[in-house]
Amino acid sequence: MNGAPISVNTAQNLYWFGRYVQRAQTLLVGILESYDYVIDRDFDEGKNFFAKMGIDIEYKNAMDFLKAGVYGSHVGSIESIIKMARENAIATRHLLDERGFATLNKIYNHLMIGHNRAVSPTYLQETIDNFSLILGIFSSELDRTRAYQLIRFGQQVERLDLILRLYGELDMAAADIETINATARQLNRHYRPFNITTSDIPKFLAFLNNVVDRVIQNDTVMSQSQH
Amino acid sequence: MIEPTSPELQKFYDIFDSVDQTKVSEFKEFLETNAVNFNLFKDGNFIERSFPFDMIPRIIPKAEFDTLEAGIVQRVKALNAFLNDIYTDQKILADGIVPREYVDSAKGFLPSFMGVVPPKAVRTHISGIDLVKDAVSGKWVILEDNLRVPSGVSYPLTIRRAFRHTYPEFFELMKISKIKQYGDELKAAMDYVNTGGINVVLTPGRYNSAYYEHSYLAKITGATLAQGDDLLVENNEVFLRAYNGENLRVGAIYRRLDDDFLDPEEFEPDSLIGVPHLASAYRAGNVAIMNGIGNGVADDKGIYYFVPQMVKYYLGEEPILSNAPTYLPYYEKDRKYVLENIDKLVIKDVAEAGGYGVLFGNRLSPEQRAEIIKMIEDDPRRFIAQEVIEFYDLPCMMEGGIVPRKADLRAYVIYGEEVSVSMGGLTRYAMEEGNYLVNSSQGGGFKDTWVVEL
Repeated sequence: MNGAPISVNTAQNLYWFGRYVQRAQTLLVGILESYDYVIDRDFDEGKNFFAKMGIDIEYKNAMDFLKAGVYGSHVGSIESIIKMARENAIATRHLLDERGFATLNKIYNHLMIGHNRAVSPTYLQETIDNFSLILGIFSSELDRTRAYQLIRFGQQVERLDLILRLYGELDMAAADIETINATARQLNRHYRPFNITTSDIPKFLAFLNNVVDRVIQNDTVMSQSQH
Repeated sequence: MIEPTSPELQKFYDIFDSVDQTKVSEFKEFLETNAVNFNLFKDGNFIERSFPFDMIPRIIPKAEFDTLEAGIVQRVKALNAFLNDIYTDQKILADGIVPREYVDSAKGFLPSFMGVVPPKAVRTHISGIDLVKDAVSGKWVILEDNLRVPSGVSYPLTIRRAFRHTYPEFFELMKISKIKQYGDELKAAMDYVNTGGINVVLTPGRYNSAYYEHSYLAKITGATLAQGDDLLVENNEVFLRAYNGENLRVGAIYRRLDDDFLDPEEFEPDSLIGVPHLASAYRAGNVAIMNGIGNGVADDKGIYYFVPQMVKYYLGEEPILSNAPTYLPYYEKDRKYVLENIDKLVIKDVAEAGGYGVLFGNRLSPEQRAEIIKMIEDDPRRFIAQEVIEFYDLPCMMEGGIVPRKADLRAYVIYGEEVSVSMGGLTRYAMEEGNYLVNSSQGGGFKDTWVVEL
């Protein structure tokens, strides 16, 4: 049950939906963990956490850190990530589980009305739980449609990207690369698996984008047209 | 004037009295949580907006709907025959039933498609026929035929499902015609004209006001949702650029964009949402385009005047449904009447749609009145005039009670191997009392439409 054929635009939206959902979930957990440090153990932990993603943030106290993490005007804010996840979800909603779509939209609606309020850790925990629900839906072993494989592909690439950014160890990535190769082969029979050939993480991350282009082929019109 | 309460509507009220009325708020929550939107562009800004919904359905007794259905099927068959004739032999013009200049000057008439016969000679695959119920005669009257890209069908289909979940009592206790089969019927219509290949719903993209509907239709038909740059034409054949680099032949396209934007090589050269050379593939008979290219000539507001004559001409039948009384300033006799009675008429610009270009004569200032008279005299073909129809208000739940609001009905017709009318439709209502403009693009809301048998 692979469903209707998927266009390049839709495939990219599904892939990025998977990436943004994974990113939101990981960063929410990271923000909540950092918050505990910022309160009374290490005030700079919040800054250090975002610095790993190449983002500078400022805050006056722990609650202010939560606000900066969720609503700050930077690309790593939860608000901007969820906005992007939702944009991609709207573009592909015909292929998404309705419950998963509605859950994401509910998170978004809640986020939009909370601009002028303090961000509570309880709310963040609930949001994490909701993201776990979304990820659970799209990780379902029972569903093997191309659409869900593309979402999982995005999640897997994002996970690898975050592991490298947050922990900086290429050695930790071997299992993830194997998973990515397996999914990519399922998605595109012309795909050739890759391995780690460099210890330079920024270089590797750039290479990873080329891997994605081998699965979702934006500008290649191949000759084996199906009639 | 509010429509008298039928026994069917009374039954709805009786059941409503017995159910948990606080659950009405669940509909709003459902529409917001699921982003069931009809978006608007205002002052150049894109505004995401849930489509306002009123939970009291328009209820049409089954026997009444049967007549409506027969009249609508008749009308759509005649319009399809008209389009086939106009783009081939033009017999109706030769026989003087429709003046040639009316067709030649219609904005939607595309002479470059003369001689093109689409797959199975179907051109009006999906029609939206707008009707109101005249409060004076009690009869349904046709206001418009939408034969290009009629939108709205997804909203009653979506809300019907929510309704069944929130208030199953109505569906257990009332005999309400089902509409769920719309997706299957639409798919069958796509398959019927498909020239070999996959089915595609072509959307302008996420920022179109009806994008929700485009994705919904792709979902219920199992078609691929594609944007213009997802498709390419090679050797007069259309292909989907699948993500894995393969090109898949496309046999039928349910396009959700107007002719002007469909193919930059043929129409508007600046269109970024179309598919270059798509019109050539259509001409070659290699792809079905739903609805047909050039349909705009048949839902031109001026051509509307002649539809009852088309029914007689092509089908040899008396029209079951009537037009609103309409005058064509193009004819001297009508023009004289229009100019003398402008205060009691509605003036419509034939080139406009969506509630734009509609003027009520009794609301014009002396300056506006003089201006419109001059415009009619200068370019009579551009306008039609209609008697104001006092159509029924429907009960709407708002402002903490039940209030009357003007409402129309858009009936959806699928032309495949058979012609079928969805047993429901989209009822649109105006948000303000006394407002006759119910269009979604004018900020109106919607109701579900139930065809009920006692």
